[in-house]
Amino acid sequence: MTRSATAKLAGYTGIAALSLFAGLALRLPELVAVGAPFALVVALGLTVERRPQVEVSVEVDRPRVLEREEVDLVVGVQTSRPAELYLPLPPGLELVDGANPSAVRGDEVVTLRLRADKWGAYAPGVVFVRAYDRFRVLRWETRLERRTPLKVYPQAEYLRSIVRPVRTQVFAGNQVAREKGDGIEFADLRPFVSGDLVRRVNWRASARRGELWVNEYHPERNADVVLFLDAFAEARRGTSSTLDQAVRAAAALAARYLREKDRVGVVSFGGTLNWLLPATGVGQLYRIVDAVLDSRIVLSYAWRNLDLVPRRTLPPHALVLAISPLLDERATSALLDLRARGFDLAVIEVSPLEYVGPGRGPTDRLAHRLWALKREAQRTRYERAGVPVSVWSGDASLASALEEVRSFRRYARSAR
Amino acid sequence: MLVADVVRKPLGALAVAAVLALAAGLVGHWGPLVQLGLTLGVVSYAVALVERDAFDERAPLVAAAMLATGELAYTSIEPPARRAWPFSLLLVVAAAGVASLLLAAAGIGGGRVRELVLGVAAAAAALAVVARLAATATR
Repeated sequence: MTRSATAKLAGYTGIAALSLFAGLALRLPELVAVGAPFALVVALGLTVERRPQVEVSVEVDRPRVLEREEVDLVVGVQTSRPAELYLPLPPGLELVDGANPSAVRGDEVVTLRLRADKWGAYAPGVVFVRAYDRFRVLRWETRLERRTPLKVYPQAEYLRSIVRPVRTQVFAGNQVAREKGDGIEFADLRPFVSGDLVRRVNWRASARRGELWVNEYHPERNADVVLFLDAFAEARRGTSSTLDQAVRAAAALAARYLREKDRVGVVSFGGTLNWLLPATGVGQLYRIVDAVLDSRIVLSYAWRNLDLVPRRTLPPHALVLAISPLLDERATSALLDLRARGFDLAVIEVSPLEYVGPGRGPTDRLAHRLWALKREAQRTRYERAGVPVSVWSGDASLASALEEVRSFRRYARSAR
Repeated sequence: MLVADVVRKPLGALAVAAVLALAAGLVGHWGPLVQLGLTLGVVSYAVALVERDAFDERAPLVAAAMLATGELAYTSIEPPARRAWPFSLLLVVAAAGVASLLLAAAGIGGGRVRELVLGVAAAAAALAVVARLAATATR
């Protein structure tokens, strides 16, 4: 702990010195009597007290919570002298109950109830400790690192329906495949060949044609879905931003597709490149959400392209759902590159227009309109390449944005 | 013009300056102004003693009052997380006792100072017992 003098030490020392010297110079014993107590306080404070011993531990009662849930931060303290504790809280965590700073003595447990207002990966636990001697002429201070991880998951919107991929994979799942095989969804009729199961025979068609015809079905297969997060740039207003919307969308989509037994992976493409290989299961959902929680906008001028992304992260015939504000040229170029490589791509554009106002002057408003027109032209460029682009503003639901994508794909077919 | 009249005007100004400096230091939470106020208080008392030209039996009370002012002022600008008033009160009473003992040991002021010393010592002991009982009861 760092020891320092309080203002009281300097003040009392000055008064004692002034009184004693003035008393001697003016031959006034009363002044000596006035200055003596101050000198005694200083002397006792400097000689009697010892460095305090402080031990602090910090833990949370739940390491994972959802947004707007409350969590208890438990601080255990062992101190040889009365002390004061202060824990600076990161933005996104609000103190609901408890004293901060708080006074402790001996062995105590201080509980702070926090509310997680915003998703993210937090590590609270920086503790500032301050103790005084009994006469408060000396101060001891220290900063302790007792970080404990706390992950706040976004409140994901429940999606009733999703974007169906064009191509499926070979494993069983809930997606109706285009191929024909064993399944439930009727696909076609064909003439009976030896080896076909009798229960497949379509007796009505067979009676009409005078020979045996069998039903063919579409099998249920799973699909590979890759969530492509654009982390180059964001538009922000106050505490909300396009990245916040993108993270919530990614969590909702991942949960929904994993429930359909699809393999879901994540690529965070930006100043820093992060990826997660596609996999299934509940564990994959937590891995995906943990990965997107670490998404941050890191300013970078380096040009990045898809060659940096491992090939296994983007399996062939995967449905790529890109969630992007389409602000950075590198991201828009990478998306067109994905389409050119034959990926089944859909773009959910997190609209930055509501975060960036038109401005006051006529020149500002003109610039804003030109910017909006430029973005419209960019969307048209994607649609000409066969990529549906759905504009998602903050007040609309994600389901409405997905419906726009489905409508585009219903009336357009990819050229293969 | 009497010496007392000449001295009284600067004494009054010093006292007012001391109070203003102390008040400004408390409002602004600035230690140097608090120190200036206390220093001007000591200077005012010194000027008053010079003007009085006789032994002041109330010196122990002045010492206690100065220390009480200092304790209150510095506690205000650096408040403790827990109340420490019992200890500060003990300090103030002890200040009066120390000042009295000093003067009594120097044989200054005659019997009146010795009586004051005994009274202050008795009061300090009673307050110490009360404070100790109160601290034990609150734990």
